[in-house]
Amino acid sequence: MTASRRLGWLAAAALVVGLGAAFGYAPREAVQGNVQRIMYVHVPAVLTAYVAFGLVLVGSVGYLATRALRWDRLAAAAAELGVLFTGITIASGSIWGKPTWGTWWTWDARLTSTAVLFLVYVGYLLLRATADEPERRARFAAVVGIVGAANIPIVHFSVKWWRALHQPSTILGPEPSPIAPPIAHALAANWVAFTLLFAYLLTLRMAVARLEEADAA
Amino acid sequence: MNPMPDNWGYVLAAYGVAALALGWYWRGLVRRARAARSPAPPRTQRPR
Repeated sequence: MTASRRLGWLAAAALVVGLGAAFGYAPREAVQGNVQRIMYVHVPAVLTAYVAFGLVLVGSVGYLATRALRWDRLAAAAAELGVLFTGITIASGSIWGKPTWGTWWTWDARLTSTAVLFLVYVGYLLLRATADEPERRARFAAVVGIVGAANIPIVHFSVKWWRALHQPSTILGPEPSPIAPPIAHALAANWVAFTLLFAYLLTLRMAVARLEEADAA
Repeated sequence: MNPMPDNWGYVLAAYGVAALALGWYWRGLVRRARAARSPAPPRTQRPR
């Protein structure tokens, strides 16, 4: 079995553990009830998107520094996954928002900045699709990949910098986390599962890119 | 404090959307990998 397949099976097992933690181990939240369990998808999805867009930055800088296309391959693969996980973040957040806030969407700082993040990287992928020549495509995409990364701290700190309906960060914030340990454990289990899934999909996507480049050559 | 109703439909919808999106993307990658690995069909010449 290849390393990629082993990673895939590991990710699948971790997702099963994560689901068990989300529905079997984590308690019913005192105020929100069971709708709070959406957080075990929503929060890991956005954290995974941060990692993905961080890798786009790494790949973009790597390409501009070395002009080696393997860095561009990393950036492109990570961008696709970042868009996917940001889409899941927005969708799951919207579904959570309807019963809790009474609305599918509001133009608060966190939601708006996340939507901007999503659109920036959709634009990145569209830019890549319009350029035929590999080096030209990589160069233009690298610039967008570097500039787009500025959105990541804006999204994360938006709840602190501006008045927002969205709750403040309960993890990765400057203050100690206020969440109960079982909820934190379930969140951690799902974050690990999403990270493994991301790693698997990234290796698979990069392998597909290598195969398609070899076919085209 | 009055806790909210459970809204299980919303919970299932959120997990369902995530599963569908990830499953669709993964299947697309697997299909592309298979297509890229399979050899190109030979070009057949029309008999004269």
